[in-house]
Amino acid sequence: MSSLTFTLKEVTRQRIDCSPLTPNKLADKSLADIAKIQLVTGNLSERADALFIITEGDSQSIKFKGSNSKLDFIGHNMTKGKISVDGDVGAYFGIFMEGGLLSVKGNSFIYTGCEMKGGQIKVNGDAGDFIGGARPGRRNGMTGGTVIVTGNAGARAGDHMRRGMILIEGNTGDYCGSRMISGTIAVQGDCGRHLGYAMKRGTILLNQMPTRGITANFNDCGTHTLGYLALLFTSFKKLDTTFSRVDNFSRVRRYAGDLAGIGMGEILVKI
Amino acid sequence: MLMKLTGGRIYDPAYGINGKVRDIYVDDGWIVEAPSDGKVLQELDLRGKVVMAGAIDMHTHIGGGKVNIARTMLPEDHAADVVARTELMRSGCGHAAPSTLTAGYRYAEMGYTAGFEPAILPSNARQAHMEMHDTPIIDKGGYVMLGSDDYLLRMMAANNDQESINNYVAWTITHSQAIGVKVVNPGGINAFKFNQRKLDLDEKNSFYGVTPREILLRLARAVKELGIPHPLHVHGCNLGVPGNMNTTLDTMNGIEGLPMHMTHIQFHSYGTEGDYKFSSGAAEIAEAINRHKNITVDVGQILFGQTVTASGDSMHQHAGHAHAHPNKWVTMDIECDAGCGVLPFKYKDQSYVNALQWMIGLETFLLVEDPWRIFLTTDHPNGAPFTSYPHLIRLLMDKTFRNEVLSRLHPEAQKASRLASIDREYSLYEIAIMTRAGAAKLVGLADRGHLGVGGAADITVYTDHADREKMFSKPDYVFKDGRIVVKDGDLIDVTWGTTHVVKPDYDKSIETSLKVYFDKYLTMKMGNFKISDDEIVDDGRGSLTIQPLHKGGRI
Repeated sequence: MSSLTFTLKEVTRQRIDCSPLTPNKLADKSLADIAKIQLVTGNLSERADALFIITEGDSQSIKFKGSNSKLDFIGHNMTKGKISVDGDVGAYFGIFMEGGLLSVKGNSFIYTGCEMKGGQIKVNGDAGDFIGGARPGRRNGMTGGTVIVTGNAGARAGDHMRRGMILIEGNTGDYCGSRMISGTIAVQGDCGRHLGYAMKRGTILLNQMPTRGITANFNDCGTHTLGYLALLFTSFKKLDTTFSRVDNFSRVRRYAGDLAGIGMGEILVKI
Repeated sequence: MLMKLTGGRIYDPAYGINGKVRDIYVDDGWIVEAPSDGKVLQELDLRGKVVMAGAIDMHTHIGGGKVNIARTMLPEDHAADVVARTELMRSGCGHAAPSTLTAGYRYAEMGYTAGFEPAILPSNARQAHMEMHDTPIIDKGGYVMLGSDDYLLRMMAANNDQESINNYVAWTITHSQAIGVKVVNPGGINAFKFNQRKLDLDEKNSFYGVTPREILLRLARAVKELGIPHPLHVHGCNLGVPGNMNTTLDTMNGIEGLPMHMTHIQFHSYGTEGDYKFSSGAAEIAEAINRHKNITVDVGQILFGQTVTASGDSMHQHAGHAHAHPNKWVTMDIECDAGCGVLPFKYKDQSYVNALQWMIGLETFLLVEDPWRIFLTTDHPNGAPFTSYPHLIRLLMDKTFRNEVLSRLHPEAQKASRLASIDREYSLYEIAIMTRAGAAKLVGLADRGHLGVGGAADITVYTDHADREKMFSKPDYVFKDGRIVVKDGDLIDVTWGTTHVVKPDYDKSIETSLKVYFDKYLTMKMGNFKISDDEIVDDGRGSLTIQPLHKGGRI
């Protein structure tokens, strides 16, 4: 059965809250019921069929076409199924997600994978700030699952991250891994300023020394051979990312920090 | 427009009226005599209903810097409680730290028509007044916080005479547009900045050499001599510390008979007995309150659930930071002249300490004999949000309900408390004293809290319901200055209350030395510090009510 498809009719002036359009919430709904769903856009709410051309299909495999960066909350709270998006997506892509698969052919805006608990998000493009982060004022960011970004990431990737994995094939912005509680961030490209700022625990794995260096809050612990890295790379093998093709390495230089806090985080740089 | 409220059962303790059926006439916002010709334009049939003056919350944190910090720090509090805009009301949010507008609406919906912000920092007074200015319907006012400010401590260290301190107090109260003086952990907020982490009643500030006892005496005397009706509003030393009941008793004894209001006394009534080294001191405290006629208290009852504690007492907020729930907290200096601490907190009924705190509060309510000297507060939001008042009233008025709730709490705590054996139930008359007549008298509001001729027509009408929680959470009618703002528990009109202040006399010469001090040490100029009357009145939405001073007030 083909996918249930939402094709955006026209670029709206206001943002659209797409949180009701997930496999969970659309399961067992008829096309007519789906068309009636009210979507909040700006300070109004509109019927789903007023904003999208809806093509019948499997509600467990949803497609968005003609999407742009104003479509917020796609994949909100989903626990199963699949959503794929053609075009950019807005903020909070995969917020509170617990399972299933989200993918976008384009860029995602801020708070991708915000407070997610499980499942996988793949951004085939750039992702905005606060990947896997916590909403403002909240204490825990993502607590499970995987986010893969093929392009570059914005600032504060993994802010308040607690568990799970963020794999960035390109570069990251400033404050990557800021206030990180635990979990893993791996970066193939370069990193911005203040890497691991206020990091408590967790691992940031780098393919190369960042051009802006590592701040003085991290203590150089020398070179190590870490056996677990081989296991980590094996776990990458089953993922759809260039990380699955990276040559295994286990020799790294280890930096521990942020020493302004408890200093139990680590930045590992390939040597 | 002359309106007759016919046949309600009146509870008006200011005139000793206990449930008598009478008519009330309201004209142009005031309660008036029956017209001689008997003609009225409108008549409201209140037969069978309970009629009281509008309730007054004499200690509620509804404005000022720390409430704003709480709001900023707790987005989850706001996200979980969102109020949509209606034709009448503006949108808002928040359970423990509601937005200004929502706070005003919710107070009115419970029959409250006035609320007093107890901790206006002089340097932050403008912010506090602006927030209160944005709180609809209810009247407001505030107590200005002194006692840890360097200017006062300098004067005391230099052993200045009482007259100059009176002058300073009067100047501050006038120019921060307050109605009373509050002292928080006397001298302790200042001592905290000199790395003292506790300060007992007779312990010296390590820099100024001044003790809390001296500060309390000086300020209580100033308030009395200036004729300010509201006694010195004291948040004592050692808040929340087990064993602090002795400090509290010392404080009462040490004030030498001067009028003093001890606020959220529940947090200051802890002993150190038992396996948990935490016990109730309510009986001794209540006995001391009964004995000292110069002392008034409000309870600061805790109720179970999530809330946030916001206090100027940076010393004890810092000491308690490990208990923050969720785990985030702020302790900060304010304008180099004061302090504040904000700590989210969850009171749990299965925690020994929290359960006992709940019992200590209720024991205090029930063991203090004179309802004119004890007031119903939760120290919003420190003990619980003000929206829980109807529940608290039911706990006081219904012994069966109280003991039923009690039986569900931490079993060891139940054994440590004598609450179950107390039979007292508050009557409607006593509730009216605590929340109306007594509160108005304490704050010094001549025209509020009673239903006599010449009083403002702030009136609440309830249906006498056996479930007091139901009764007090949904009044039939609430009148604010003669206008019906609530009908059947729902808001139907939005008005803007007045700001109550006192304006004691002072000697202008104090400004010479104050100006030098402001220029040298403070973050703003003296001219900017002063809040003019026009700022309160603004575009006419606000207004200023100057309450009379006690006779004999002098400099």
